[in-house]
Amino acid sequence: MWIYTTRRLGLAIVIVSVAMAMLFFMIYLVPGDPASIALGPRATPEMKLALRAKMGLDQPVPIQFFNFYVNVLQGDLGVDVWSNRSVTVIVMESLPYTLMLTMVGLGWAILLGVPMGCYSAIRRNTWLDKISGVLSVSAIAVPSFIVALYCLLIFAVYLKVLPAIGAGEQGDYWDQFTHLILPSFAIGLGWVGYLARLVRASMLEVMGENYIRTARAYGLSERTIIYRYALKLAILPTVALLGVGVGNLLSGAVFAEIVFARPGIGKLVYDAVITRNYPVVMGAVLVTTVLFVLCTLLADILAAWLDPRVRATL
Amino acid sequence: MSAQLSDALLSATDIRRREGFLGQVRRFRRDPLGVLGLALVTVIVLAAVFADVISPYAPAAIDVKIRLAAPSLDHLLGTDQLGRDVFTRVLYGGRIALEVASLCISVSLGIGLALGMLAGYGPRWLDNGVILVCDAVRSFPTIMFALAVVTLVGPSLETIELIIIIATIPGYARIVRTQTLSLKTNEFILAERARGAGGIPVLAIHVMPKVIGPLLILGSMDVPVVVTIEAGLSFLGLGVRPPTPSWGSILNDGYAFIRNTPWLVIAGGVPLILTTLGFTFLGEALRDIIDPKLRKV
Amino acid sequence: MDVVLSIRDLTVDFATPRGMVHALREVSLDVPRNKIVGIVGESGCGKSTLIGAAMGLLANNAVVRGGRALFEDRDVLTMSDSELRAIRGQRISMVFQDPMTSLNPVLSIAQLMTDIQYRDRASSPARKLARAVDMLRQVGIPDPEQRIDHYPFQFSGGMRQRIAIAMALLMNPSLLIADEPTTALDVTLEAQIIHLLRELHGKLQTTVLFVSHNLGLIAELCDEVVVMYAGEVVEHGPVRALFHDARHPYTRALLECDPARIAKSNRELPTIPGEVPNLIQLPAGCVFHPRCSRAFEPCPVRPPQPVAVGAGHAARCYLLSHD
Repeated sequence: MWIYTTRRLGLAIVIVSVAMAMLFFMIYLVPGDPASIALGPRATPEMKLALRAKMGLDQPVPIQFFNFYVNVLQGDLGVDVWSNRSVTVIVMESLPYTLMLTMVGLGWAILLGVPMGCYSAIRRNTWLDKISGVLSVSAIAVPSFIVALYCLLIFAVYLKVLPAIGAGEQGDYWDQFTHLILPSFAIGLGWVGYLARLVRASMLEVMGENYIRTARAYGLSERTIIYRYALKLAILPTVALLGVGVGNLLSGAVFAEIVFARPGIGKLVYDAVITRNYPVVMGAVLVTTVLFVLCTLLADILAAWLDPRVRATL
Repeated sequence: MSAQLSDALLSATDIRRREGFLGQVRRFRRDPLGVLGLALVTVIVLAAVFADVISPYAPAAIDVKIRLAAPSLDHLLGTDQLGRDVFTRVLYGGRIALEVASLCISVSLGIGLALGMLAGYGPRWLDNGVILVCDAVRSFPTIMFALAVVTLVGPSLETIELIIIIATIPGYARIVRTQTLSLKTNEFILAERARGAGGIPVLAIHVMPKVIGPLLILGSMDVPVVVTIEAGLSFLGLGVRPPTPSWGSILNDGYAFIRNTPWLVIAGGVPLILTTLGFTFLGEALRDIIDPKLRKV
Repeated sequence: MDVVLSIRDLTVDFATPRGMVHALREVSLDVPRNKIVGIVGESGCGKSTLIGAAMGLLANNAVVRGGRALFEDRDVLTMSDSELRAIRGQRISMVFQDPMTSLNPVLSIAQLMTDIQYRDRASSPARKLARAVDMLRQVGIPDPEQRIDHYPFQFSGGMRQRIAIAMALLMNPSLLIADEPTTALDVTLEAQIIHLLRELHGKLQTTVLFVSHNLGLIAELCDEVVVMYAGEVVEHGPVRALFHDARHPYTRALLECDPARIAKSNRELPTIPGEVPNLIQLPAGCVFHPRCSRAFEPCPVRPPQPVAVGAGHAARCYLLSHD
């Protein structure tokens, strides 16, 4: 088990390093340098020089990358050129909101998607199955920001049953909860569809296996068969995919935060993009990428561990 | 059990092999979602192609007196905050969406094909390098990556197209690489090479037919994804530059004025929904008929 | 005579897109208590359908056209789901053909064996586990206390089949159905399993219904034999009588084709000419007549009825009514 984990971890670190390098060197593919870009077209040469020195751009490129790499490992993502605050601090302030949104979104996906898939498999080829099949495909196809916009339109602007803006009062859990409902639903809907289809396919495959026939021959109740025997196995491929789900949902979270004017990484990055504030953008992208890779890694390891056959061979 | 025996008699591969093209068309006709998808796609493509013929106004024609009007016979989908006819803008927005999709996917397919063959056929270090870079690109959440590039380069339609191409190449390259790798050690290829035939052309001739089918299907299933990315980034104001209409920019306007009128949001969103649904239904139906093994789910 | 399982004139069809498959036609057989009855026949002869019917485990597209399957005098085919669940695994249990895929891979043997004891609400989990361990010991699994916590993939095929037998006999059922339990095992393991079955039959007094396509096994293990062909019982009777004096041409052909019984060595292996009939469109008359070397006028007209040839020995063949 440990060898497997270490290998995967090592691979993940390599990939993240390459990604970091790409983010870093992208700056040099662009005409001009980050200082000029940040300051805009009205900058004077003196301002540019000062900013360049501040950003460490006067040093040779490989040294810059090396410094950058070392800094990142120590948790230092640079400094925001405008506010002079540490990028790490800025990003970490916004991250919890986004994580919360993503997790609740994933929660929706699991709570709705898994039972839907399970039920579709049990009631195969009935109207229920066919309708839920169409709904699943549709949920996957429709972009999450459209769902967000329409939820906003219908539930917040017209029906006025749910709040439209922000994350709610600090400390007031119910308020925060109601503010979470629409945006998390918007980003989770796509994965409801995806999980429903995956669980259905998995369950159908498992239900056709011989050990299910054996369980029936022993008179085990249908309930036991579905939950203990079938679902337990059918769930395994789903767990591995949840890691990818987080990455997917993070992208959706960016839009949801902007549409619902919630604080979070999405809003942070959007504002930074508008002001060409690359250090903040790079810091946020790096953090979300690392999160994505980490989640995928954890999900893979969890999936491997849950299956005793794989667990033994590791 | 006898039931399994009769199932085995009717195994799907048997049927498909006896079918041929006409048989596949017949099966397609029996898939209601597929037919619906084809209908939607046809309507959208025709609307985009004939946008200048169908649309009653010019997409940038401003008439501030009638701003934010509700739909009427004059303006089928109402007007936006500058008095421009939304119906016209939606039609032209379709052009943008489909142009971006066709350009990006074709370029991406081409580069992915080349890269995949190179990685599969070339030396180990090249293969490892390509895979590493591909995995690194895929480890970025796409929108984040797009935002990073836009920060540096500035927003424009060309930037978006570049981002989409870079983000979608790894997917295609992988498939081609896998197929190339498995063919590399194929005895037939080895025999050809022993005869002195050059490596790459031989490989190309044999790899291409195998990968063309899956690639085309995956490409067509990527259309909704590409359209979504373009619309999403335009929605954020980071895509097409005004006054060029894009469904995303119409949605942006709609969002800003959502408390004044719902029609902008509806007008921008519905065509997007129809496009993504249409291409997805069509793509799935095609995939189920031509090669169900591509089903990841 | 106390009969545990009595199948009477059972006719089962399967609805398929290609047409109605006539899997079983007026099949009758009796399994007397404490005996070992064997069913022998080629693939597709309907033996799996028959035992499926005996447990009420037919596929969804099965249509029972007539007949009864009486288990301890109750018709299994008319029982409700809950009644069936009450007897499965408890009064009547089954050992399947393929030990590699019959056991749930993500549950330990302990979990599997305690699960099937779920109806026993009086015993504690420890008691159920102890019962399971004891059963494993009886089937010859070494060190059962340790190994019961292992997963199926950690056992070999032969071991798994023993475990399957242990599971089947755990609740001391009246009837054990063994569906080709040794087909997937090699010959040495096969002999061990047969030996084990005979031993347990003696010890626990369990009635056994043994399905196989291997005549040698049937001869070795069973007291009575039922020969099936294309969905019908063509002959049945006590093992000695049937093997020494087979009356149905198909049975005789089977015996002749068994490599173990060939007296004179020859270059060619004997086979039965022709093919198994299409179960959707059956030939008129006797189902075997197209392949029968002794077919004559009445054969293609109407299927023959069973004719007795000795004590408990009968066959469906017009040749018998002639002699």
